[in-house]
Amino acid sequence: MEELSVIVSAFSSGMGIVFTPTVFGAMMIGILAGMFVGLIPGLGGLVAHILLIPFALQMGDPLAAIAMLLGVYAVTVQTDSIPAVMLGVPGTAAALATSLDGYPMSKRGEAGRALASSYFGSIFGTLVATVIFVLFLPLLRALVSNFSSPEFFMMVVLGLVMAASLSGKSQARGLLMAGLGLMLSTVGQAPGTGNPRFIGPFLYLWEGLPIIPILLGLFGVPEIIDLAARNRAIAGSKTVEKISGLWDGLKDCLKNWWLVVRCSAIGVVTGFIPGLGGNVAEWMCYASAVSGDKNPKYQYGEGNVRGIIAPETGTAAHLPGAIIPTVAFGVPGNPPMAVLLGIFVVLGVRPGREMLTSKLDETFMMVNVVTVGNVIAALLCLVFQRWLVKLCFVRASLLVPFILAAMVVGSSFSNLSLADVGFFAAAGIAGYIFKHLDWPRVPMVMGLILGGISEPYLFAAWDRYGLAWLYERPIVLALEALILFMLFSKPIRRLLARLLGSKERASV
Amino acid sequence: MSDLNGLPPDRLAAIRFGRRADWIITIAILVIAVVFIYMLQDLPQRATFFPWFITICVVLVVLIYSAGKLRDPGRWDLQYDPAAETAHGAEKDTGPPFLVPHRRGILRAIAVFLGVVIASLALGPKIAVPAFVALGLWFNGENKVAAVLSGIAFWAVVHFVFGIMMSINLPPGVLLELLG
Repeated sequence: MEELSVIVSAFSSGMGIVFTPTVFGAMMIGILAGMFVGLIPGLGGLVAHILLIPFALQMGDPLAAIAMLLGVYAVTVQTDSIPAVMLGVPGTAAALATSLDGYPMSKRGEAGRALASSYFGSIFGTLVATVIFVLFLPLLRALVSNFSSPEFFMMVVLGLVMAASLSGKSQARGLLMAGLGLMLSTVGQAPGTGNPRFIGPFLYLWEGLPIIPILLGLFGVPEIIDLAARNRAIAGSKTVEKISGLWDGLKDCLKNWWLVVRCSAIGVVTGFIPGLGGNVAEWMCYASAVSGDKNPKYQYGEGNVRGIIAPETGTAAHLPGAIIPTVAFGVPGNPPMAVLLGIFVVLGVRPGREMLTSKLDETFMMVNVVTVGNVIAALLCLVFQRWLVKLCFVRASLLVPFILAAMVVGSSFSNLSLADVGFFAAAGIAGYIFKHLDWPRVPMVMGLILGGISEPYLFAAWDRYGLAWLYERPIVLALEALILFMLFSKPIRRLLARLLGSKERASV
Repeated sequence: MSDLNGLPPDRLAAIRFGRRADWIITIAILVIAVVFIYMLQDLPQRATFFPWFITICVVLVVLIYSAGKLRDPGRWDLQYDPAAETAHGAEKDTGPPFLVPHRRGILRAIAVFLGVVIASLALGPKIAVPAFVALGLWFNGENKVAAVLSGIAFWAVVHFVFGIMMSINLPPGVLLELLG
């Protein structure tokens, strides 16, 4: 009972923080920026997120800065369905499934119904995910209260291994990128001893590599270069269908309530697992909708409304789901959360036990910003969708100078030094090469950010327990088993398949 | 994808380019790890514990990955997926960027990007970036007056909002500092 009252009190306190003028104002700026930049052809939510970071950091209020970035995070799941439904062109990879059924519905004259089901699916997705979060919070708090530095260190290692294994197509490349990020995170003053490491004559590097210019370069520049190279709008010369039947979308969501709950649960779970992005949640939910529908009125891919509700609910529920491991264990659930974790480090917000105990209201503030932001974004999209879709027709030549200019200025905010611009440029070129040669960038960024967090944990574990922490603590042992499973399950499966294949050939 | 026979020349060239670039990235990571290991020698043991752990792991993964590549060079050839890269699958790609149909556009975009960076380093972002906005819009065929006004507006935001209201003074360029 006491636990429940603590959670309810933290929830209401978190909601109160959301509605303070600075936090709410910052969230609204994030929502509006996310609506516009997220809709811009080929950019998407992550770029919007990264673009706002330098400006958010200048606000002086860490909670307002976090609210602004989470506002962007919340809104992009709404806006990316607009081009997917209206033009058959998903703004991001996470809206690909939505376009499969959304565009045929739009061509059938049911664009409003398709869009409304997507918006309300998102709203219900985040609401159900919040409820799931609240229900599991006592369990999570009990778990985290048993965590000490060895467990936190192993959680970071598990998060990195998972991200390395799941975010790219090659596990070895993912691991190498995570390792590169970790190596780069050791540049600067060593925690515990204060010795400068790998900085040479450059005092600029005393506090480590600048995270913001590197993030802007790695994730922003490749998208801008591609956008400039193609130099056209995402929508091309497509025609916009008429919008009608908005209320039918709400009715569809209510009628398919079990699908909404199921997909929300899938979304929360995929959000929790590092490396699984919103697009994995989307396709798992789409598959769940298809498998659970024996006699559909419209076939999937030909305009079935359940084919919109399922992925939209899943991707929206994925958002609060990804906040949980980020704040509780310092292990980001997806790329925007990895970026946000980097901002936590810059702002001095330390993930871990405190975020679920003494700072639980701040954690709820984050979850509530995503939920409230999602509702506001859905309402704004409902009202302004006819105008928002026009953004898809804006020429790249008009956008690129402004976005690149904002990136250069934003990157130099980090230390107000020209070296920031140099790091931004180097990270931009490296990011472009990594993107097109299929070397995953997310594990690298996670390594860069988590390196600074995990090193003190390793020191503390070593100081307190020597080597015994590796084999005497049950949670550490369980995490080690998971890490080994993640590392070796793929190679063992491949080896077994090869062995079985050669046996079959021999018998033939 | 070890068998390269029968592939169109552009795809073949893309695969070869990809394999070479892959090796370059792998070796670059290895070199960074080795340099880090070398630089750790002068530091006290406590400061080197974590970097040692990381760099040794990286060297091991590089060796395993390289062995895999030498054994089956084509294992990662078909990993490139333009539909996933471009998110909307509207582009027809053949492989790494220098070989896609709009490679000229890509090289031009990279050149423009580097131009903005070099100008920012030389003149400072406060001068170079608004000038880039104006020139970028101008040369892309937008209205010339609107282009110039956009550049001025961008400078005004940087100067008044960031510089005066928020006291964020962007660094001056190297060239301007040399000139005093």
